[in-house]
Amino acid sequence: MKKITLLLVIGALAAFLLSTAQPANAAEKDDQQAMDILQKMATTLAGAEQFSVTVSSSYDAPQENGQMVEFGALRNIQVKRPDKMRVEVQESDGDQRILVFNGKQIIVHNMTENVYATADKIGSVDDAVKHLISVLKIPLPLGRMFRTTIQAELERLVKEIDYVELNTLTDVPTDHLAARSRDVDFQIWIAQGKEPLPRRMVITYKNYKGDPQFRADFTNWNLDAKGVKGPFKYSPPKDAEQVPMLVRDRQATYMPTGQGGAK
Amino acid sequence: MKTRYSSIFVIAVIFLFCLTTFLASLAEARGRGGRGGGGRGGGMRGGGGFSRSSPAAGGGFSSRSAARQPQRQMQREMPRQQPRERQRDPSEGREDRQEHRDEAREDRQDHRDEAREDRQDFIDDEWDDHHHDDDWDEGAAFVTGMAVGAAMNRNKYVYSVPCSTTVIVGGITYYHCASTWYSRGYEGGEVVYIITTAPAGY
Repeated sequence: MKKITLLLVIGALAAFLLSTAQPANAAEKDDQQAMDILQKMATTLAGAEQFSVTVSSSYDAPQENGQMVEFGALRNIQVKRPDKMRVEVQESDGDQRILVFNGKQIIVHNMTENVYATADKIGSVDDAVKHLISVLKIPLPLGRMFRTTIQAELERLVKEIDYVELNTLTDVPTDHLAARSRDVDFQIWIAQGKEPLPRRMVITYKNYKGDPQFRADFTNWNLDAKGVKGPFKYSPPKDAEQVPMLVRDRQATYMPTGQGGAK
Repeated sequence: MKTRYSSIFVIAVIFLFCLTTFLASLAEARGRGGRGGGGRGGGMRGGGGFSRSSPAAGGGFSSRSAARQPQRQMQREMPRQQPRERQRDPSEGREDRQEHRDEAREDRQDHRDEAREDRQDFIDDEWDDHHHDDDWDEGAAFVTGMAVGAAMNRNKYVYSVPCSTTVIVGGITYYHCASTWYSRGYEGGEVVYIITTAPAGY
């Protein structure tokens, strides 16, 4: 009798353990599936020899009175690896800029004010993107996505990820994922099929009052060499004024090269 | 007849006066707007004077730059950085499960990544925590920056100038506001106005 009771207890315990363990495994499987989709996208982007894409973005700017105001920008981005990049920007207030990197130099032309500045930077697109954002502080939203290191960076940043749904309202069916990092939550819609590229992205800055968001819609993806024409050589108009490229003084000692402006 | 001509003359004078006043106010408004003239309002531009500054402006994957800002900026940022009480929502249970499930995984990951992250945190913050921080200099009269390539020169600059008087010397546009001269520069995706010496001949 004691033996039967013991067996029953062990059986019940096993059943209980199985019942609790299974959902966790299933959830983990979902997580892994979502991460796989994200990484497949990263691999496609990182492995592309060249690509062009139009990014229509907007972000929330919190005002002093607490109101959120949205500003936007349209960017035509062309990347030709290893060392060519061109970004044409139009801000929602009409400001227009062109940024070109040719492997040796970054040139930024503010067409609205007709001034341009240059900074020497020898290296790859990866190097230039990092230099633009970290040193020159020139906005390049989602800059990480244009670097070949995106897989490793996502692996490191993403702490949680879930598969939300298969979205059928986008121009092609997309996998909608929701991920969380230490600093931001983000959602991404990745196209199903041969080219798993992002179609939409929403980043929420959860550590800031009001949870301001950055949103981007990606269109006109082109990974063919023919579609990425540049030009990656840029000569500003003759009447454009060259001004010095400044880096904000943060007791840094960085001193790259450049020209222009009053002596 | 004389009276008629006088009336026409008076009307013409009034019309010219109104036209001049209108054009002057238009020019002043443009100057304030800052396009191609007196520069932009620091941290404020556009028609409504709304701030474009936002942690979301840079579209980065992290947002911790305030921690790396000098003390003055950090204090300013603090109110926005305060963690908030998040409302409990229906997905909370799922979150709890997720947290629990991920705890071990994260612990392992954290441990493995600790050394790597120590190195990368700096890089990460340095390069992805970009704020479109027009207001970085708020509360200060100017910002200092180093001209890229200029031999260790520290330049003081502002995001707008209080006038639109310009002279062009040697192909460089100078703004002369009261007794201060400015030339243009490019910083953080914006055209800025560097405090400079008077150009030759002025």
